[in-house]
Amino acid sequence: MNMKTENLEMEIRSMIAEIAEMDEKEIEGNISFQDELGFDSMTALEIIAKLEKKYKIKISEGDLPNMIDLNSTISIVQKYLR
Amino acid sequence: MVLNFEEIKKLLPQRFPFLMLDRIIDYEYEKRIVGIKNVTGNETFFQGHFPEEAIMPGALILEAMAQTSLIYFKLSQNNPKKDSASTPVLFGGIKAKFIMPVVPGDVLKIEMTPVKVISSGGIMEGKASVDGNVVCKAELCFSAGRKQPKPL
Repeated sequence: MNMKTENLEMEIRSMIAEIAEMDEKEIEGNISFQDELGFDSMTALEIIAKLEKKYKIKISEGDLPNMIDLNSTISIVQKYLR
Repeated sequence: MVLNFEEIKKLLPQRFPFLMLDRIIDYEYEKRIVGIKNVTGNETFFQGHFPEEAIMPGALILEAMAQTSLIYFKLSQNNPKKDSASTPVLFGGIKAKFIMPVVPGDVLKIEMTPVKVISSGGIMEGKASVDGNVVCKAELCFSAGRKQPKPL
């Protein structure tokens, strides 16, 4: 993992923790948002809206089903940043 | 005028006394929607809120903003007629700030902009104003009652 990915991970992790009102430590790379952290569709929507605003990207609806945990969210954001 | 009262009724499930929208005067995809609610002294809620001093409940200002957002959501989908007025919508997260009271005679102008709207819900933010003075600012997060894509 290079520096850039690490920074991105830190930023996204703290963003998600803030939206979900959770401790950052609870959000691990492959812990499922839905099954283990109990996120609902509105939390998901809030995360996407925040990501779009922060990184000035536009995440397509087709990517949503793939954003299942922190790792996949990071790779999707990276895809748009490239 | 983009939508009149009858056309609004085709898109919203709400009916008397809960239709908090008279007209949609502007709509632009991915930009904004502007609705109008004329507040009269005859509103049913003024009977109790309050008997000696009529003030529109803030929750109903939010309702007007929510209904405007719902119209945006319906119009922004490819085929708004497809799920007609019956689509149940749940407003989940609401952040709001009330700035001034709304009283009989006020024309409530509701301007909402989409933050993110997808086929199963969305986030809208905006303001309600009377004569150019902002009376309420809010951000609304809603989910349309139909099968969700396997989320996040």
